[in-house]
Amino acid sequence: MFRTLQIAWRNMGRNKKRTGLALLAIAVGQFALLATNGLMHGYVDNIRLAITGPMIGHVQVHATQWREERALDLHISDVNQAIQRIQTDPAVKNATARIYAPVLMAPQEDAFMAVVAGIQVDIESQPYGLLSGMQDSLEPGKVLIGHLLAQKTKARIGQEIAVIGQAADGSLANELFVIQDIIKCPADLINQSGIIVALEDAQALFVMPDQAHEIVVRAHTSGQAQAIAERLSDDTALGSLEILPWQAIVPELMIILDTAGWVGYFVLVLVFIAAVAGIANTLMMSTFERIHEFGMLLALGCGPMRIVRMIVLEALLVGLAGALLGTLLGYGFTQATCDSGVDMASWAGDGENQADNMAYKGLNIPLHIYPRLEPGDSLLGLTAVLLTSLIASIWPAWTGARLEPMEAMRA
Amino acid sequence: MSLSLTTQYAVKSLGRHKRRTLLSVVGIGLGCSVCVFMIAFVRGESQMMLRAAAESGNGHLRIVPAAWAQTRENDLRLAEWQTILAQVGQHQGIRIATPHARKEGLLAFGTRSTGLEIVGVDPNTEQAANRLVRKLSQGHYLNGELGTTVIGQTVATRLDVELDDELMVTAAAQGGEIQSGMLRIVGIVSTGSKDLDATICHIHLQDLEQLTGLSGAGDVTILLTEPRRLSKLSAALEQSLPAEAKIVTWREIVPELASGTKIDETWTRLTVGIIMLVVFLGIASAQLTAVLERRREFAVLSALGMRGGPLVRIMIVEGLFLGLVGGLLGLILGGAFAHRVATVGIDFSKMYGEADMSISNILIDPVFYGDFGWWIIPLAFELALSAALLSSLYPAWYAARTDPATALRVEH
Repeated sequence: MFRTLQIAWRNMGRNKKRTGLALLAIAVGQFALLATNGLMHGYVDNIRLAITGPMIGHVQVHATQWREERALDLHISDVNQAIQRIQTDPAVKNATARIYAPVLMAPQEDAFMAVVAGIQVDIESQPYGLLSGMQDSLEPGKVLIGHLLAQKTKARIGQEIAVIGQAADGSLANELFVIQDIIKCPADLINQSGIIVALEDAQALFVMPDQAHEIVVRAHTSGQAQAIAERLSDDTALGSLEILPWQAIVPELMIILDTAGWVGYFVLVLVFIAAVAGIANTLMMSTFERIHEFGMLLALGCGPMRIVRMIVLEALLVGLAGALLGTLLGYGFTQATCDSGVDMASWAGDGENQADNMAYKGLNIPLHIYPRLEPGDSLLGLTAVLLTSLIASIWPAWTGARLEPMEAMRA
Repeated sequence: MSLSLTTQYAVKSLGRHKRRTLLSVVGIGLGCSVCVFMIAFVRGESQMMLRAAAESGNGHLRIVPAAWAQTRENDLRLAEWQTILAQVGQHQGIRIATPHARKEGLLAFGTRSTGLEIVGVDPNTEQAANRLVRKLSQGHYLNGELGTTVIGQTVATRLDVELDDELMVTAAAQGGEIQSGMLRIVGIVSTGSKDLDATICHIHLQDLEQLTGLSGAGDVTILLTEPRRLSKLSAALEQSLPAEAKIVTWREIVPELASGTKIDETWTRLTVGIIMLVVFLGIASAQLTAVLERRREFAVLSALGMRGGPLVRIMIVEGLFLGLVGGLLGLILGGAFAHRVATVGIDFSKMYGEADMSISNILIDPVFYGDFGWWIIPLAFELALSAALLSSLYPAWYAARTDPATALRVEH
């Protein structure tokens, strides 16, 4: 076998240019596959971070029906107690309450629709919180507003705004707030229409003592969402609250995550279909060119199966070498781009209306992608390459096996 | 004479090596068909998204007050909108034109309230221009009776209301005064997307005038019969408009969609480029073999007086034929697939299940259709010929450099 391998290796070097071209074809294929997968992984990371990050967290707790109706009076009562109970779960990093209420915001003469988000500023300022990275605390009576809302309403920092809405008991909720800051955060809902106030202020404004609409639970590690949700659902102390992991909150994004995985396979198939013909061609040529030589080998007592092995091995060697080169290129690409990232938004041109994010389901999914490869990626390509080489070598090998020594030598 | 000689020679030598020719043609054909199919799919997808966006109430074009393009303020009004509307209606290539005015407001019923953009419409033409409000689950669309509204199902659920309930609507009128009014629900719309259903509240344009204290329409939204002629039509329309009115296209109305389409296109171009590169390398390798194998042949030809030029021409003509036949194969294979996807479509509804099919307030059809048309023919040949011709260059140059003396001396 080793002999055969040696011969196959040497055969590769017979016609360096041709082997080089076939090898390059495979390398380009493997590179394309790795680059695509790298980008897709980065994209999926962005989506996953956008979901489990600021807006949704790992697990959410609501009153049943709140997600459907968004009614102010469908609230969680005794919020503090519920939060304390949730935090006894060892997998839970933190839990924080929120209030959402639709309002009209009037900075000057005109009024705009907005959503007041009452949040616990201290917890949301921690990493992955809605306000992560914020240094100052939110002063009582002051609010933060989303940058797109500020742009639309021409609101400025320090300005006083009137907030008009309806309280949970049906009375009129009406208050003046001062804008402390204008924020840009990963949650599109907040950027577009968010007025962030402290939870206590919101509870007072909407007459919701010790109540909230949502408890966002963050886990220590991301894989635990489902387990936590199940444990909390079984906890009778939490009563009849609806407790769901993020996968159940935004099923649409799960589909996008799945689709992104399929794109990789799609490119794989397309590229390798194109590669098969090229490699087959090269192998065919190198086989037919050596018919004379094979005849000689057969006459010297070499069995037809050995000829087949030789041809197949040569194909596999070309495939392997190509895959190796492609893998190097692919890793080079991800290494070169993983720090600075690839800005897919710039692909959309430099128009005025260029969007640097894709807003979906109220989440901002950044189009600036940091490619990342998983260990399985190059194996997938390698398998495809070896299969391609095998398929491409079927015809030449079959021809080689059926050679008649005398006729072959005469060729 | 010389050209036809080289052509004959090239064709004959392709025939002499049937297997190689076949493999090269199959290689080009497969690569080309894959690319044709991909391009057809992405083109179809973009057109579908555009259609969905345009018919979700955005329009292909909008005539807006000149200042709107910068500020996007809902309170701007289009001067002489009725004249503009009448003028536009007479233009060729316009499917429908309908006026809109928008105002952000709060709807309330009992203890429930929700905020959204209230759209004032012309009840006679709106349904023809907006596919969302054709999907009524209860009641009927606005019929000219004032003080009525059609809302989305999610709005109804959130407010816990049914048909004939009276909603309170609150908005800031001109001058900052908070204005309220009552609206009777005459219809409820179910688009299939809860997110979209949370944004729909249509009222009569006149009711909106009363609520805002501003008379007139904020824009005239236009659907075209042939979206392909968008730029020509908008240029033609622009000329007949008064100075204070301006045309914006869907690219400015829904910039997210425009960016998304561009990104898709770039992505496709990259993938097509890579596939064609792989094909190119495969063919180049085969063509190079063809040259190496025929060194003696070329040597004899050049010893007989055929110089570099004709030799290069032979290789190029060979490439040309490979490209033509490969392109034809790609056209048949890729075209067949593209045709199927354009007529039967690919149904993603199983994959999406119960999930919402809306992005940026555009309702997306779960069945995707590719594009199919005469453009596929030049595309297939363009791809196949460029790959085949480019890959013949190096072998041709190699052939032209053949030194007859050395080549003839080499014994097989």
